[in-house]
Amino acid sequence: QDMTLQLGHLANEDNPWHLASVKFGEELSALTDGRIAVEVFPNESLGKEIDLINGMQLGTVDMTITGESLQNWSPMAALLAVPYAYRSIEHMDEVASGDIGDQIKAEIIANAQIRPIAYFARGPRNLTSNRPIASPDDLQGLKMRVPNVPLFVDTWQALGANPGPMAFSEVFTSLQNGTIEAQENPLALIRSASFAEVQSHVNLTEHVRSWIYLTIAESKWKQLSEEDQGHVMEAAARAQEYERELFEQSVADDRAYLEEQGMTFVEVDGAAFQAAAKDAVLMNVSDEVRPIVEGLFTE
Amino acid sequence: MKPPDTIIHLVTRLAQWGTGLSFAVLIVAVLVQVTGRLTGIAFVWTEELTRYALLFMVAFGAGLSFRSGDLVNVDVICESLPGRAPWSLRLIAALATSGLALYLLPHAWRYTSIGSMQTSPALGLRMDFVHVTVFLLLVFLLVFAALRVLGMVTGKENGLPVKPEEDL
Amino acid sequence: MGVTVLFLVFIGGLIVGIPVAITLGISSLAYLLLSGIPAVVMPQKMYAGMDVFVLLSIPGFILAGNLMNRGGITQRIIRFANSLVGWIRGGLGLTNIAASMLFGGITGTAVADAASIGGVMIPGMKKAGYPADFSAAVTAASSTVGPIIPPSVPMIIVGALSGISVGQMFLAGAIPGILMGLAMMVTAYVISRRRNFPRQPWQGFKEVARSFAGAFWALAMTFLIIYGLLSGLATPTETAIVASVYAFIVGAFIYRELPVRELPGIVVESGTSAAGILALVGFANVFGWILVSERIPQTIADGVLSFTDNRFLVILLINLLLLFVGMFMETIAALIILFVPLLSLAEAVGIEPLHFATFAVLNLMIGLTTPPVGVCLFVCAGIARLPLMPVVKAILPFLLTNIAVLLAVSYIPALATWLPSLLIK
Ligand code: NA
Ligand code: NA
Repeated sequence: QDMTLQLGHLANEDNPWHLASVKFGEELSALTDGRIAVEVFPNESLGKEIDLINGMQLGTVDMTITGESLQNWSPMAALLAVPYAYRSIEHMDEVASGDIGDQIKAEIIANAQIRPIAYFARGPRNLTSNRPIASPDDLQGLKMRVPNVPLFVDTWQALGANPGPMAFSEVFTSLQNGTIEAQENPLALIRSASFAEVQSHVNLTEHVRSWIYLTIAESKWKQLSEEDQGHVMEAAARAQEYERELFEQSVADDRAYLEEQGMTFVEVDGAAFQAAAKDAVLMNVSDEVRPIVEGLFTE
Repeated sequence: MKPPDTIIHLVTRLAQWGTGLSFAVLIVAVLVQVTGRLTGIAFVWTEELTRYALLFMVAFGAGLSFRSGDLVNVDVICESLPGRAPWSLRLIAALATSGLALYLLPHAWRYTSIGSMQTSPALGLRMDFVHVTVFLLLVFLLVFAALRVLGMVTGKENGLPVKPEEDL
Repeated sequence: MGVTVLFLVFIGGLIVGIPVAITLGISSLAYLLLSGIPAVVMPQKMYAGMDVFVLLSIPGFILAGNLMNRGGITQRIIRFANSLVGWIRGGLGLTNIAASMLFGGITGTAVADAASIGGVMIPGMKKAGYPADFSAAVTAASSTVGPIIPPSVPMIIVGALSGISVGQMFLAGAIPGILMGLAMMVTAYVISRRRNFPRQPWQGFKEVARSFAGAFWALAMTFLIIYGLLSGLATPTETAIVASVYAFIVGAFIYRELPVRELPGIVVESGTSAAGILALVGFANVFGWILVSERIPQTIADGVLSFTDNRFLVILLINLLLLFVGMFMETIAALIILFVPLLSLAEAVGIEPLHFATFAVLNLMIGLTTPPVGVCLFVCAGIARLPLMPVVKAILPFLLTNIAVLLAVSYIPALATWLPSLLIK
């Protein structure tokens, strides 16, 4: 064995990302006859997302899974999570694996010195609450938590809610004691954070579809022979395919599980939400990506 | 005042001003945040500013905390030794502190410099201006520890923690 | 090899008396150099360790405590406590404990409590005819309820390490803290009966009411803090800063004992204390990262689980280990190094994280009063002008009492989890 790649990420051991990371390691080891091994550290045990990216730039960590946080380096990475930019998972796949996706990857490599080698789809973000919310009119003044992403805050403000950024670790308690009435996240996270205990409705707003990259430090990448770079890409492609199977299974599972826990799923007027959000989104994305977002909206 | 006293005095003053002002910024940012929460006008930048103010407070205050003993010394064993032994061990502690800080300085600078590629999400600040807090922290540790070594070698101080009221 | 050096240098540094933060740094650096890991990981992990949301509340709680203390609160709280329990045999000992419980609602660290209550009570008790060793021991032992009753700096650090909600941990500490205080009062009473310590006359309900009115604004701070966290009006950091503003107003304008011109000095001093803790957290984060990348937590968990997966035994083992570590190590460093490894072990046998956090913190607080390294013990012996040994002897009954409470909290999870669970609608 010549090389061990340390891969840290934030998901837990049951998450498809983790299983796909482990799969990546197995495939890479097989392709290189055991010369390259991958050691996977789940649950932020090797560090949080930004810390891991910094570590990859400094050469102290080799790989991580990261998404729109990369916009702190590369403005185009904002495209990984623009509210209402992607109509469906097929539309998103088309963008991520197409021309725009290539531009995003190139900019990330240039600006952040880390290289995306595969991408995983994330479940769309949905709004949970204690009453049904079917249209933007139902949102008036709703006190809700959003992650500290300016674009998300501004979008929900434009929709009429009263959003505030809050650390994820405080969300459960704050929902319990009524500091906030709602929050939004993919079903998988709603499930793993036990929000069913404190929220009654999942409103299928599907307001953000996004993807996330499996990445390797550019400095590490350059140390690999051309042949091994090929092996890394092949193993990554297999991991990506494997993850997609797990992902599709988990979306169905998560909904069934949450319904079993007593949550009511609400179909929403998606067109009304998108129309109300559009201007806020366009106003709050950077100049660099605005034309692309406009294009996605009008497609 | 002799030159070393003047230096200690100046460095202490600088660190105290830095600590106090950073703390003041932290307090104001949090109060703005509370007001925003109560009035429904949330500012995205308050949380970020609070975090950075804290980092600067640590940068300026860590050296002072070395001087005042707030960095947590566990000195029962060494202080109960006979003769000059406690003095020597205190000198070793100060030397170890300055040695560690000095060794880490270039590495902290490297860490600072990768921040230039990155901007903060809410304030749009270039992150090398925040990463530099670790560098500053080590600089102040180095200066206060080195001044203690100097003071002990020249017989001006005995190497025991100096309480803040003696510095003010 | 690397890990062995890590621990040897760490223990050596502590023995020599190098500050804990620096010892953590030097031992981590030694490990990095031996393992060929770039030293740049150190500033990187220090930064990551300090840039954590919940740590923001530490300076605020320290400032609030200092402002209250300078604003004349210590005397008022002691007077109120004395009006309640001073008439019982050994009354000043009970007053001391009751004052610590009330004071605990304001300060987040035990050392602050030991220094401010000890400064008033130890000389007072000596003058009233109590033995100096007992006076120091009862102060040291009771000061440890401070960080169990909210607010609590150690719990904030646990929140930063594990993502467990700080608000929930604060609530979880309330019942164990009160229990600990009451248990120590019983112990103090028994000792006082046996050694025939003095008592004062009952001063009447008028004095209770009068001293309560005097201490009202100080006592209200505890409720402000709890209410702030529970009502959801504020996060821990916001609560801490609002409490500081409140403490300043009470000290400067209601009690009128805090000269406004002293404010900058107190801010700087509190900032310095907080910076010391945060720098310690930063250096310890490097150490903790090394343990994780060496997979020490899993190794410990697997090692214990291969030997037993009996929850009762695992709780006992964890407690014994923490008590042992607490004898030699400073609390915060011990938490940062051990909490995450032991949490994975605890979760493996089905202990709830919130419950684990409560008894782990309680355990390490007891460590503040165990020899040879017990910071509260040193502070109180210092105030009483005694060598360490007599205080250690006098504190033994209180130590056993607190260990009994620790075992109760360890084996009856509801003592910790019931109050937070009331929050669920
Ligand atoms: Na407390
Ligand atoms: Na101890």
